Amino acid sequence: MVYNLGLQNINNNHGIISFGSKQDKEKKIEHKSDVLLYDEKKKHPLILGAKIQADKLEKACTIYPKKGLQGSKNANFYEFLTMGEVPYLIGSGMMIATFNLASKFFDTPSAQSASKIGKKMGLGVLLYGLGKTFSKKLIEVPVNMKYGIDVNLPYKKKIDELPEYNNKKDDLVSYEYHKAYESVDFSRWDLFYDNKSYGDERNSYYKKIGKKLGLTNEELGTAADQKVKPLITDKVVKTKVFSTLSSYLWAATGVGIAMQKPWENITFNPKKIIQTFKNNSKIIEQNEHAIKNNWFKDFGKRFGESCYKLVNNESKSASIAGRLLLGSAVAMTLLGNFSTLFDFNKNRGTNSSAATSIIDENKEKVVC
Amino acid sequence: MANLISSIIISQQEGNNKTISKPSFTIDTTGKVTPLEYKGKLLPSRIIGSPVTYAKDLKDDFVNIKDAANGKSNDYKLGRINDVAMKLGSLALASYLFVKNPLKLNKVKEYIGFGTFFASMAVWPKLAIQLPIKARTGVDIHQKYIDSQGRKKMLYLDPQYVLTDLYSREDLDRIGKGLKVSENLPDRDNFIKQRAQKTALQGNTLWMMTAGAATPVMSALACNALEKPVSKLIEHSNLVSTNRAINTPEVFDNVSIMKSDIKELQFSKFLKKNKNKSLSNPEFMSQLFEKLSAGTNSATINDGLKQELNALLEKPTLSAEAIQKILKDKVDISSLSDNVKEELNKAISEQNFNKIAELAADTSNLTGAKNKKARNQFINSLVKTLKAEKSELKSNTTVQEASERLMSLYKNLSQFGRERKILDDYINVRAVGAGSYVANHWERVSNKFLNGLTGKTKSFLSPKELKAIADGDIETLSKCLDKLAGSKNYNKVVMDLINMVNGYEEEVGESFLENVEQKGKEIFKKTSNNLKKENFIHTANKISSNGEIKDTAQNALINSVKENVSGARSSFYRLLQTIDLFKQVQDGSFESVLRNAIEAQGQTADKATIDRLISLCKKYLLTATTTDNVEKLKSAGFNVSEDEFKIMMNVLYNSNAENSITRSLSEKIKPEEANKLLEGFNSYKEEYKEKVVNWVNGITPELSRRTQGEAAQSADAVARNSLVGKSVLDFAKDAAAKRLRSDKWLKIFGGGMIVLTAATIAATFAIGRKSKAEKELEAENKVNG
Repeated sequence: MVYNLGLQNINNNHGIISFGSKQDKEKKIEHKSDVLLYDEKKKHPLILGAKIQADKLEKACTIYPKKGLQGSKNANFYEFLTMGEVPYLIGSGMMIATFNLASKFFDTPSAQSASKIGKKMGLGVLLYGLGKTFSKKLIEVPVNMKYGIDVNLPYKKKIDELPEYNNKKDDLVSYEYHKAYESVDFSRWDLFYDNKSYGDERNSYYKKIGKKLGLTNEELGTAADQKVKPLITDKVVKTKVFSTLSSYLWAATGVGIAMQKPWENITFNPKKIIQTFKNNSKIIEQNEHAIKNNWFKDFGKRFGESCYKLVNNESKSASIAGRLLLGSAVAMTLLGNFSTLFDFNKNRGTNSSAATSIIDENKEKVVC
Repeated sequence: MANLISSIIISQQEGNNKTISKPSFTIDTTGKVTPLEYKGKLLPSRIIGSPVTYAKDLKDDFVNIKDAANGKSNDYKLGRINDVAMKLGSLALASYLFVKNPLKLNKVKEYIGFGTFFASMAVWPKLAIQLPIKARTGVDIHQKYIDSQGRKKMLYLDPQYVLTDLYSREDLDRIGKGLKVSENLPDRDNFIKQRAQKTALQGNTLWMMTAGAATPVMSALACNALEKPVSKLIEHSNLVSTNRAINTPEVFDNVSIMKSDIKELQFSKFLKKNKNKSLSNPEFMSQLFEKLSAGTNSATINDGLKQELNALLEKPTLSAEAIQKILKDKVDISSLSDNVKEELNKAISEQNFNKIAELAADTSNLTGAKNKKARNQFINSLVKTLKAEKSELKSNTTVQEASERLMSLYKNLSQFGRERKILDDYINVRAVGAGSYVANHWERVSNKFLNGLTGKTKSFLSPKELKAIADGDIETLSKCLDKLAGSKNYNKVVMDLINMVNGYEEEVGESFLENVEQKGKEIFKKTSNNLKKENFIHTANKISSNGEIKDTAQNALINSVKENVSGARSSFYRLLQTIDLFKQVQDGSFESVLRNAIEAQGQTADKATIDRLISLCKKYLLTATTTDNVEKLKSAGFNVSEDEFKIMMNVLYNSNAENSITRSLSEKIKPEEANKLLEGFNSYKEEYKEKVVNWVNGITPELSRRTQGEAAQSADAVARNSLVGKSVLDFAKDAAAKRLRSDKWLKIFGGGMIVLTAATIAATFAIGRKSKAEKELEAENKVNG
């Protein structure tokens, strides 16, 4: 058995050692080690995001379950977490199905009332997901804009797998998409050193962030990284906690919007939607104002009406509850912005690492 | 497997040379900090955790959130915060939907949905994956441990970092036995640990693959199963609480008095804010109406209120100058005597236009019989002119001027609203709309009836028959009722139904209606009298009157409650009567009753006539929706003569005639008890006979035409319709359709869930099995051994 072990070959400029029958073939190896995808994200953030999601989803449905069910020794926590998206997707589908699938067997009035609930539930699942995902950006983006700290900055991780018993697979290299700050205990600080994307110096990234955090050159000194890392962690933790807390409130608000009356008689026929979308595109070309029967426009109108209904319902108590729900989501986001964008105690960040450490830094220590 | 093999090779080599050299140096650790001793341990596995632990964890979670908001946290804490946020978000959503939903059952369902979803998320992997694997292999794939820092984690969460060292000797032996690891395998512990890790990885992957499909369906099924008991609990609590409230309103009034005090204060502020506005301002008027009508809960009262407000608007008066200006051309006021002048001034101040016109006519010498016509014309024309002039004037009454009266009106209506709310709640939980006792009982009787038709064995009513009944097939329903009449189940079904209908009579029967009537009169009459005292006649008359006005909110409320309750009651009795008829036909007793009735009419009771009438009687009870007259029935497909119809009515609604139900009950209980149980049934028949059968026989119409007005006749028609109730075919059709729907839903999702559970448990049997390499290794070792 010949394995591509992913080791660096000092005699081979292509970076990978390979033996045996495939020695002659030049295999395209993307990276020698883990790579920060800063430039890619800067150039095409949406494409990169979609690519990563597609890669994760594909593997979560194919390779990872196979490895997991076989009990592969190469299976890891990343794979387990990535597979966690599968229940979300299937669960959402099932949730919609529990309300919609059986309704076609009902008689007309029951089917109509089931369909009303079904539509709301389906939309609720959709708006839950959208609310949860996009609300995080309301805190993450301002932090990125002000301090240059992108909590979602991805990097491509190279995994050198162990050979499996009786496995014919000769390529033991696999790749995973992680985020540099996905762990606050083990942030990938190393990926920012000597990173040409941020400048020519070893500490360019840390200096840049340090300045944005309000530190002077003198304060940064020669070890900018040591000075800035705790401050970054402080921001990352705050961003994460507030975006998490607010995201579920926005998700709940999304479901609240989906439960309003205007959605009850919306029709959902993908074929027709595409058709009207195409037709409307043509109409728009001809006359900007001649948009008629546009499903998307109708959707937008209903969305607006539902948002209004959430805070101005027929029932006064429902209006108050709706305002509280929306208000709590908005308040949590604003609190997140306030907490992350304004620093009241600049020294606090430097203490944060000590707070999570169990070792007293003032004491001499030796490992025995 | 390669590293396992190599580790075994190494361990075997080490086994040959067990002497391990000790280091040639020592380290002095005095005064130095050494790594802390590891205090981690495995946590016992429980299906339901202890509440103390939950409370402690919850407290820790909130401390974690506080720390994280200050930038202090770690991965473990952030992970827990995510779980807490998810639960808080779901709780916020459930709370919103709880408030939004008008029905109490639906409100509670929101929390049940929230609870069952999270419970399903936890229970599914435990029941379908964790426990079967643990039972077979001894490996708890969701084994938890607590580390030195007190963090609780899953042992097998990260397959690359498993603290299997936490297992005790006994644990390893137990798992080794479960995994059937050979006793004499070198480095057996390591082998067991690797197998356990592999088993957990496989189990966790299976969990991820199945949770998405299982959790929502399991949650939906749990909600479905909980619906009935929860609705019963809510119904019971509603009945008790509203009963207490109506009997001791003072206890429940305190909070609402406080609320209404606040509202009165708000209303007073509203009046003050608009004090300079004219009452005729339409925008103000609509706001005013909205506030005044907030607690009335009656379109009838609101009509009266509108009239009341319009009456308040009729304030403008024609000034003395304006009247004198109009009279100027016709009367020389200066020439009038002082007495006449005084009279005229009085009439002007009273705005008595007729008097003014009469005085003017007198001064114009239009007196005597000759001038009568001219005088009348003069008066009419002058009154018309004055009225026209007045109508031109807009109300200049300001809000401030009317505020005292408006406040008094508001206070009266607010108190009425408060008292009415208690009565409305009392009525609503019993007799109005979805979730009420009547609606729930309808459901219970429907189910009992269908279960009766279904019998204990499925073969009694096949899905095909159920479908046919749901489609309204009368033949199938008749066939099933025949089957029921002949089955051993008959007595039980009848007994159950009688008990259910009697339960209904107890809860919403005569005493309930009397209570509603008495309390209704009390509340409505009191408010009406108070309003009359303060001269709000329009509103007062619409709330309640002494009988001169029929269209009052009080009458509307009492009639609608009666209608609601008696409609369902009649439908239940009609159902019983139908079951009884089918039984009597089967045992032959109905034939003799019918024969006697036909012969009493002086007609010949031949077999064909009897059969025809039996079939008509069945059809009547199963399908008829009207009893107004024979013509209407004929148009509904009844080929029946007037005489035949009278015979049918008299036979079916003869409360003295022995029925099969009495016989059936007598088999189980004493005849006196049976008669007591059948009191309601017999009184229903009596009532039917009095109001419907007599109508058919031509007695009531004449009587009502002579003695009552048209309104009374129309009220009779409503009462008759209520007595007819729902046809048994429609009743069965609705019940069967509903059963089919819930069966279908259960079949799809319940069936799906069973398949998924079976498949998942079956899949766990493939988990933890020895791989080929492991088998080879053990076999090789046996040979060597």
